[in-house]
Amino acid sequence: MKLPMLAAIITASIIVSGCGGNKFERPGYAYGCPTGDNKKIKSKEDLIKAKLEAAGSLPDIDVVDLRCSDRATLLRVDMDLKNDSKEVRRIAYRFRWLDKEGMRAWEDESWKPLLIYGKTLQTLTTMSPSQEATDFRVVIMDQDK
Amino acid sequence: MTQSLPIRLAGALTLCAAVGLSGCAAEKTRYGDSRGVETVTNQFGSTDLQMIAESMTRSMVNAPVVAAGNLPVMTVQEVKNKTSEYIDTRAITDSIRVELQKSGRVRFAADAAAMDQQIEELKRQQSDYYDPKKSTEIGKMVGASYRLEGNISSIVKEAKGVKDIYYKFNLQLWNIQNGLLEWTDEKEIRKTTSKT
Repeated sequence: MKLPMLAAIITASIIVSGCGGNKFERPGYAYGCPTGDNKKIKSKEDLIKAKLEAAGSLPDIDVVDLRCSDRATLLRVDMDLKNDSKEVRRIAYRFRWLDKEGMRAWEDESWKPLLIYGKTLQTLTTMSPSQEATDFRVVIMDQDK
Repeated sequence: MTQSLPIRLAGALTLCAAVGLSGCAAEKTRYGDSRGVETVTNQFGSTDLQMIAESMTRSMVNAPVVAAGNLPVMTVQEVKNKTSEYIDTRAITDSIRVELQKSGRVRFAADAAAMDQQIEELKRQQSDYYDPKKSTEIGKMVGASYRLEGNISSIVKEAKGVKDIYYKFNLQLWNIQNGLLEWTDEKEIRKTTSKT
């Protein structure tokens, strides 16, 4: 095989495997997380914004990362929350589960209290409750007020 | 008998104060969020029960015996209450069973508590009142392959107006055939109450 041909094949394979990034993700997914019909998600920040529902203001609490993966036909979700203040913050959270058509797939979860020490990161981890629950939203509420 | 003006005035003031105080204590009932964070006291409450059930269920559906998708048949045994307070452990296992059954990943066989009613109904259907072709047969019940059991324990400490309670709920899934522990997990909860 001639050198220019080999270089072209290598370049093409690099584009397809790596540099293409999320362009080659499953339809309806971004960064491994389901996005449904939302086509506006172009970055991790967009994804977090689409998945997060803050019930009221949440000063000093930031969602810094969101990861999803398939586990035995269920969806595992990890969400990193950071407390930017020096004080201990108390929040409550729950996941809202939707099916592939955007309908409610599971009854309301209980609000779960969570303590986050000052200037630290806390990861929320959950699994989808059933196979029908293919999409989600995270609702976060301040408990210090 | 006549009373002097100051005495009558004092009496009237006392009456007004009593009416005012009783007014402050008027009851008001409202519906609340059954899934909200409950912190009325530091005793075991609805939020603890819901968190435990949810945490255990989400963990168990990921266990190999459940995730394999063979719809394993389970039965619920006792959750021992090793705390110093009264806790309806049956309410916890009922919630876990509801979540697991709704997940569509497991099936439950009649447990010891439901067995009497199950047998009673089976026997009833053997009577002459029922069409033998349409009534259930004896000897067709399915035995569980796995049993769920667990315990809840607590550590309570109190000093200088601060009361700290630490709960630990442990659940285990045992293989009835070979006695192997197939899955176990625990949920810890800490609640602290301080007098302000």
